[in-house]
Amino acid sequence: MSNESKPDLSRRQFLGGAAAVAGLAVAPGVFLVESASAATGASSKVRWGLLIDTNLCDSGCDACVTACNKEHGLNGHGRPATDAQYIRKVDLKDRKTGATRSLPVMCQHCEHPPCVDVCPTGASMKRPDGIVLVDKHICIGCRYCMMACPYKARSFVHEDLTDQLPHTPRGKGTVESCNLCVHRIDRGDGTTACVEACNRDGGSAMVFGDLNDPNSEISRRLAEFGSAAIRADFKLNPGVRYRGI
Amino acid sequence: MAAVSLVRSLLPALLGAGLLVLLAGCGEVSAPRMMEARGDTCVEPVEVMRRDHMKLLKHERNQALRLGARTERYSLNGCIECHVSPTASREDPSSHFCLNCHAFNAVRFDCFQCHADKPMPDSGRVHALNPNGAQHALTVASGEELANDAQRLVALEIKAQ
Amino acid sequence: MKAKVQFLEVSGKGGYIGLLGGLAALLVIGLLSAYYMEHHGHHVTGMTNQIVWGMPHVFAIFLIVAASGALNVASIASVFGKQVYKPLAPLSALLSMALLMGGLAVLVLDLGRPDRLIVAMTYYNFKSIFAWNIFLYTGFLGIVLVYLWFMLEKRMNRYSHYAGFTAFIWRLILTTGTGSIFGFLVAREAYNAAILAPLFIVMSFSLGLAVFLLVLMAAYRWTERPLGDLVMRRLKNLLGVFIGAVLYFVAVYHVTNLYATRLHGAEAFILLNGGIYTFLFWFVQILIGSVLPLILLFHPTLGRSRSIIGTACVLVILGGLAQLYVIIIGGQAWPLNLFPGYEISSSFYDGVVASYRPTLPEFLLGIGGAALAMLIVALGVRFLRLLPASLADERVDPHAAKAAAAEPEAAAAQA
Ligand code: SF4
Repeated sequence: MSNESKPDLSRRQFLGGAAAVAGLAVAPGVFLVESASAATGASSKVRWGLLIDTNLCDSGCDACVTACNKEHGLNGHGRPATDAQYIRKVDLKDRKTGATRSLPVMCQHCEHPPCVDVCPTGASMKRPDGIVLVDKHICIGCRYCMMACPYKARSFVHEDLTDQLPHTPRGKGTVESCNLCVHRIDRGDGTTACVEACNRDGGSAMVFGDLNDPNSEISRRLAEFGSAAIRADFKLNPGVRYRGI
Repeated sequence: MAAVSLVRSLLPALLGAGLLVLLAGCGEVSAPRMMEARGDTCVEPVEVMRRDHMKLLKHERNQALRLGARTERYSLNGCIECHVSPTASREDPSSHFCLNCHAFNAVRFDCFQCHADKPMPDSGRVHALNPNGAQHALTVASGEELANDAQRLVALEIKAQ
Repeated sequence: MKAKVQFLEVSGKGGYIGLLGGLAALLVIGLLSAYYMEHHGHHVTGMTNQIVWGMPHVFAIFLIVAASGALNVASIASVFGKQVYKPLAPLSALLSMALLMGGLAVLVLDLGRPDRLIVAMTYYNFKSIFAWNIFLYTGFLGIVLVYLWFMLEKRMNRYSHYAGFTAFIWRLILTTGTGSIFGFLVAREAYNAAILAPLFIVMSFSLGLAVFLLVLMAAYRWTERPLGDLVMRRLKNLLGVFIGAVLYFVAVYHVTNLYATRLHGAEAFILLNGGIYTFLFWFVQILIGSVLPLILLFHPTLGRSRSIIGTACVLVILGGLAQLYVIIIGGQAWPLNLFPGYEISSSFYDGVVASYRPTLPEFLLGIGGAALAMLIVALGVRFLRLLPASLADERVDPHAAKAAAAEPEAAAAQA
């Protein structure tokens, strides 16, 4: 009884007078003020991105994929054609020289994302800090964004789900994709599940960071070695960059 | 012809009888037995939460998702950490704070089609107002107390009109 | 002096009830299929993360495209002032609204979250061509409704010309909008072509007219009203011209693609080695759906038979469905080219041709949409005076019979 303490009645009465309720009803701004002071939100001064060095990425390694599936609770249903994949390993073979490469591909978090352009409701969106997300509250599941994405980065949830993880809500009838571990970023972890796993169990091929900060590791590496974007000819300026392709 | 007029004359009586049967069926409605929360205070007074939790949640959802401005205070996960036991189940709504009340009031909501419906036992994340942690046991609130709450809400509703 | 055309509603006896019942049954089956798909999620369909738009979209886009084409007859009457087509205008307007509603119903019922239709109507992203189409479609319904009203209401008759003109322009924009849904998908090699929009416009002409002819013939046969050769000959010649136009645009589309070396793979896939898509393209779309109907329609003796004209219309519809299947599904089956110059493989079907096996509920949903359209038409002609009591030659145009053969081409050229 003592541990399962009940709400203190007098205290509740004190807080819960008619005035408080009326205040909320007349002035919905109450909560606006509240959250504005409580959290500043994503800043447009930063742009989160990834740099992937394909020279360090081994074809047999899928540490990033496993970590991503675990982080977001992507358990799958044993149906590869319809199961979600936020990140996948792609193997390349040069048609002329026969040289091979291996690299992970996920949502490229474009500066000019086609999915955002085509989405009829505005569910596909780009956060101020450059992360491209699906607002599953207003996604109607038309899949036009999947038609438009040049990177085949998106998946549609084809069945009812249970036991989702608290930080990765996902459900039937909506579209989803890599969210750059936005819950970690907002928590201030400064890394994503895939990058963490790559550094721990893989070839340390991935760097996460702020592309707008010239002193960040990712910016220094980009300045020093340069990089490429997948299908740069589409001029989407993706936030995910590669070396060695 | 005779049959028709017979039915006509009987109709009012039949209707009356039906009404009586219906009225007889209306007993006192007992409130659902709600789970108690962990901790001793909610983020807002209970009357506010009962009437406006959806507004708070919707505002929080847009701020957090679209702008990355997460307040913790009104997050759905915060609600669940305090109000829902890790052993609650969708199959048995009476074990789940939100589902229980929504079922009782016949209000459809689809939060849990996507969102986790119970706290992760080892999340390590605890709402600021929850002194006990997510594993802590929950009990069912007393019916008397719920009835008091309900009465107060009705009184407020009348006053507001 | 022009003979006055008398419009009469059809009687609700006999076969009519059976027709309604049959259509309603198909509609219910379609709705049940949609419920089945939504309840279990889309994994019970053939659609996957590779083929994200499937059979329902083939049907939906067919109906929407045919809807704007079905208005053709009315447009020719009011915009180009061809008297012979005037009596057919009300049916043409009703049919086009009905087809559009059928197509939209299929599109909506296939959404991942059809329960959020209200979201689709309250949140708009004005950069999205899809969102624009929502306005185009609802606007089209509204305009054609006004047009129909002006035609039916005597006091408004004199304005029907303006309404008809607005509807005509709106309809061209609408079909362009539908075609642009695909034209905006820059990364998909089969779709990234400006010619898709005009291709959709001519497709709408031929598909819409084929559906219109079938409905017209069925309505007059089942109500035992006279339908003269004069009207039929014009319409079937017009259909022939439209089929030819579609063939021309299809040829231009593929030839321009063949100029671009980077598209050779995608082109060879459709034209040479795409299995079902190649078969559908050459055999169903080109041979059965275009060449054969052309021969039937313009054959000096066969082309006079009503049943042959009906067969030709059915073939055109089949060809149109095949064409949309090749465009929509074939275009997705061909893999995206993430790394030009490389062979690609992954666990997510990169670099391989995606397979698609449509399931029964997808078909039934599409059929249900068509049934909804036909049900609306059947109810419309029952309760409104839309169908002329007679379309016998002397009723339609006693004086112009001899000029009949030359005119349709002229009208088509203007259109
Ligand atoms: S599926 Fe959802 S996110 Fe994608 S375009 Fe449609 S509404 Fe937008």
